Amino acid sequence: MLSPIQNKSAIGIKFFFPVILAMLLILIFRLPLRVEVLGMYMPFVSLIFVYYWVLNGRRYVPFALVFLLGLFEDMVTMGPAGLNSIVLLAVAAGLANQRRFFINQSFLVGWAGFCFICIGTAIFRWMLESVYASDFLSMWPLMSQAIVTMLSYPILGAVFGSLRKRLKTR
Amino acid sequence: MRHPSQKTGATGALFRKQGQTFGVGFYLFLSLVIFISSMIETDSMNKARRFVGDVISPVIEGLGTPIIWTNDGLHWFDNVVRVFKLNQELRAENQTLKEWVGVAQVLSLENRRLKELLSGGDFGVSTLVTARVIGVTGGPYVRSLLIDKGHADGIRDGRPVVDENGVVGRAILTGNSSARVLMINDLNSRVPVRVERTNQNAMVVGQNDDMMRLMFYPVDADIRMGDRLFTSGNGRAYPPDLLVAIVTHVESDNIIVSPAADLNHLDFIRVLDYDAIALEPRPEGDNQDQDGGTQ
Repeated sequence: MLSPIQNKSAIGIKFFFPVILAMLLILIFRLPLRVEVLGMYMPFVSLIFVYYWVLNGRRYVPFALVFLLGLFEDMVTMGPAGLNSIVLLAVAAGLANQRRFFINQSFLVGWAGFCFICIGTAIFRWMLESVYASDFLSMWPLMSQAIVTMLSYPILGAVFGSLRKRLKTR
Repeated sequence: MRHPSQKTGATGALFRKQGQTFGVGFYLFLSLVIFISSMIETDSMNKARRFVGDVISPVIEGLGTPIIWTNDGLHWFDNVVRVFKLNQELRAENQTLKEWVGVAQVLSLENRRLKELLSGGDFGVSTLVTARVIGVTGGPYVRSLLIDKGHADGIRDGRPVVDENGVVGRAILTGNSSARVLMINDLNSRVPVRVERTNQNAMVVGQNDDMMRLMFYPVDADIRMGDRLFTSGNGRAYPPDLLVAIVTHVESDNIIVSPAADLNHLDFIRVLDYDAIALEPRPEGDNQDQDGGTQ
């Protein structure tokens, strides 16, 4: 049997599993798959991460971690530094505030909610990108990415769901 | 009457909520500071990106190993299947090439003599290093690659990058063991070119798309479908005479060109030993001059 100290340290390590998985997924989607369409528009993995874990395991996504994950994605994708952090923190704060409307819903309702947030996020990102570029950029790249992200949600949500089950049972 | 523990619970929840509000406010403020400072000063962000590139490159390489094995295995199988037919083709080709060797030797001598007459230098550019593409690190508004060679292998920012077909882009954010390549179809990419048939100068401009645009060509330019575009060497961004693109669509002032390099299926690329004027790396979305007029 684990002592209280051992137990606490085991939880401490488990705490990082979801974010480590999200970081690995971000990198996996950066592999040169040599598929034309996929090469251009990869899913916004950290948005799926934030949506899933704020609703299904709030303690695994403190705002500090959301901030760092956003910054990590900015560094990897060469996006404007801080942009993804702003977007993800806004989503995380909004979801945490309105959590009661989203939890205990059917999968389809959850997916619909995600699609709604995904489109809102794309518009918000487009605004920030345009501010950064001091120009009206085309919205199409972000909308394409939003569509890929919405379609990826069931698969990546299932991957996070599987991890959540394991975290619960251990 | 309310139980004391209930009261404590409610107060605790209120404090927790206030703490969370403070937390998100703090991190949002921090993100905003980083976002605004990255608009003003890019050096420290570029250093961070170089560092992240070096850190993630072995991880991406490790994660990509099964894909590389699968690709290599498929190539091997494909080669085995085609080897007999290829052998016959190569024998025939070899015969033709032997005939051409003599012609090439004469032309080479003539070329050297003419260059000496012109007092011009040798424009030949050798390969500095061959690198493997290990990641596609662009975003919605950036087309870039991560390669497994960096400063330690002699790569510097601005070095031209090519594949076996043509120009891929330029090295930017070179870390110690990795580098990013800003591809020629990126929104911020500009490649000075000359039209092979007419020798007129123009600029190939990236659009974050598979296709690129030809801009800044002379008003009376005669550009036709199928024209090949080579680097002009202007601005010392690229060495001259590298194949960049082929004209695929001509419609009044809208000329669309297709990159010669196979940008969507890059595996190995070559970094050229050419001291280009280093790019100032600009992150995603910075495209203030994207709508510069044609002609």
